[in-house]
Amino acid sequence: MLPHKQVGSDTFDGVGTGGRWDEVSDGALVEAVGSRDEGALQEIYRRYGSAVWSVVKRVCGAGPRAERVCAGVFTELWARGVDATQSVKASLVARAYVGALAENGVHRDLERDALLLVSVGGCGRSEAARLLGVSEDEVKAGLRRAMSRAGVAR
Amino acid sequence: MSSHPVDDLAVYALDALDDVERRAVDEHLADCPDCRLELDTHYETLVALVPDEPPPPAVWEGVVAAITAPDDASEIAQEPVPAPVIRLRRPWLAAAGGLVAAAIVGGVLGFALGRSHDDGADIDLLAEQAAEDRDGVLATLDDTAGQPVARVVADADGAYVVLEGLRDLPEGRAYQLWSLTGPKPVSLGMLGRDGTNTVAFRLPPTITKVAISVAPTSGDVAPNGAFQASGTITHAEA
Repeated sequence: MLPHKQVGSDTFDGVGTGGRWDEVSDGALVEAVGSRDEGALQEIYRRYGSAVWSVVKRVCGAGPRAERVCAGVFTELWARGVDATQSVKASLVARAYVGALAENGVHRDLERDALLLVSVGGCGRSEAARLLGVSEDEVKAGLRRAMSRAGVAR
Repeated sequence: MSSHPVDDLAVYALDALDDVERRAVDEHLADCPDCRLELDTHYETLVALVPDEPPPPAVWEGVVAAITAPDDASEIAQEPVPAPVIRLRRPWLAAAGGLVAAAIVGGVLGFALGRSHDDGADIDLLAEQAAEDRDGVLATLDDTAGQPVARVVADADGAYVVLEGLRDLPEGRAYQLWSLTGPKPVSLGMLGRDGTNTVAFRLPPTITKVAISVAPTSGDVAPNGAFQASGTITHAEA
């Protein structure tokens, strides 16, 4: 039986879940979330909250709007699950990216967003290409340019 | 030794090469100290790019507040996400890469794009003016019954989606605009939950077909369910 923990039953701060979920796979966690297990949601948040936050923050900037988008990613996970064709992390990061663009009223920037999705979000090249609506070769070229600029700027 | 795979080293550092490319770089790196050194610089860049920053406590508090709300969890209440109102000088005429702004220039990942939120301009009036232009109406979007429910209009100042016959959506849901030009739909932004509404957006010149879906307010990564309306873009000659 999967471990269970109620949200609000203690002072979870998003940092750790006490180790009870550490050995549980992402797929099992999502399944448990689908059964309304808040402890599973906490563990997914612990695993991928930083990646989701980093993506949203880089598009929206830190602040209440970014916090709302980031929270929305996990409440959507709670309400509607994830895209089963992707890894849990990629699904959450993709949702964060789309939500952040919508919230901030910006549109995609190939170099910025390819680097963001791959380096911060952990998306593969094919997933980044799908999200950006371009070919994998274009993603690759964008990554090269972005890394070059980042190296110069550093 | 094969020629130095300089172009691929940065992407290799990101672990974003395909298997064939990665193997080729691996083989080269085994015998090339210069490229190993170059790769190290890319790794150093990446370390600076990717700080592991946890979200602030308010995020989790927001999650808890939403999922423990007394309402049905399947209809989690969220604050409506503002529609992406963008004012660009000539957005729909801009080259597809025209917004590749100085996002990375001047900082490692400084995402200061050339965009701004609506500053109070009467979007309805601007869209109306655009529609009056010759060739100003670029598309009429019909619902599944063939009835016109939205238009895409544009002039030199901007492009707009004008929703005219859709139903208002409940809290937590919003209309989302998609490009259907490529092999897979690409989101063009959120349109709010009102069935009658005008939203400014950027319309790249390569887009030939658009559609509208219903999505969570945070947006879908891919369309979920049938489109509410769709239409073909007719770009006027610039």
